[in-house]
Amino acid sequence: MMDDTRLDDAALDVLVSETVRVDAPEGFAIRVGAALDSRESLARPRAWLRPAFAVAALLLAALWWWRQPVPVKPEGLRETRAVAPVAPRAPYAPRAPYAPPAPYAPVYVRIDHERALDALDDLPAVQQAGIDPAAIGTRTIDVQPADAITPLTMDTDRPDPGGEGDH
Amino acid sequence: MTDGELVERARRGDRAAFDAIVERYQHVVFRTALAVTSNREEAEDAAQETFLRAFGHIGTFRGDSSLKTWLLAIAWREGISKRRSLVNRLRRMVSTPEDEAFDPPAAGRTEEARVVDAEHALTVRRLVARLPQSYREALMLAAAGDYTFDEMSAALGVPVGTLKWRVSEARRQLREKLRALGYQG
Repeated sequence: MMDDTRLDDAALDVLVSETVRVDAPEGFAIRVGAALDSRESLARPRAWLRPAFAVAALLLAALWWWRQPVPVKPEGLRETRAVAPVAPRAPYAPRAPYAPPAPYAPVYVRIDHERALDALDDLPAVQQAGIDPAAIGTRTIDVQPADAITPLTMDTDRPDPGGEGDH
Repeated sequence: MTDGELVERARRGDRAAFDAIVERYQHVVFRTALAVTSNREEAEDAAQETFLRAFGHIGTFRGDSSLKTWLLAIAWREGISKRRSLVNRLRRMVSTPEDEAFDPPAAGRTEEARVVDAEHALTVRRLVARLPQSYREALMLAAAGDYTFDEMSAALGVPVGTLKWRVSEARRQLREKLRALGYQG
């Protein structure tokens, strides 16, 4: 064993060897013997198990063969084929998402309120068409002479009938 | 009684002969399993499985290699199987096997020296546990001193040169880590 921290090859080998060289625990051989006895005692009654398993497997195979269903006739098969299965429907294609609308470019209209007006001569002139008096139907109306106009007089001494007050 | 005689009698169903084999190689097999699993409980289970398997297949042992080499090969496979099992992986996640207490030999040593030895051993054990797996396994097998490189090569199917290089590399890395911790060499 090492008594200090000095380490050479021989000391290392001795240290590793003593660390590694561990004996089996006490009573290990007895434990192994007991395990062997246990295994032997279990193995003897099990000797008949193999042929028993083989016989059981044969019986099961025979039973399975005997219970096989009767083969189906060819006519029956043809009838079965006549009914075509419904074709599967194609899955709906997923709808494409809406594309976002293109952004509008702002339109700026510049109006010069201080601009000079157009010359009047440039404006379109609308001339009224002449009217032919003969084309207009006319009739004569007799106008009675009006009565003589009497002057309107006001009685200012009469009392005020309501409380209307002056406005 | 030689290994060959014990094997021959065990083949004929002599349990006492196989018990003698277990008694003779229990420590070697346990250390081999420990080198693979780095955990005492898993190593015990793997070592027990090794002997149970060996007993069941003793009839197939042809004697081309030594009994010890044959047991090494079985223990190696059992150890790997234990290490890969899901239960043991989960167990390893919640425990730190490298921190197991180490009880150094007390013969002729003061209490203070034993404490220092235990500290050194714990440090080395932690550093060994952190070595790359192939290096750690080779180092632990070689350091245990139970097998020659030829026996290890025959049992594990790894060339002798590769095994020696792994052990050498493991020692070099271990020494560097110890120096980084303040050990002078």
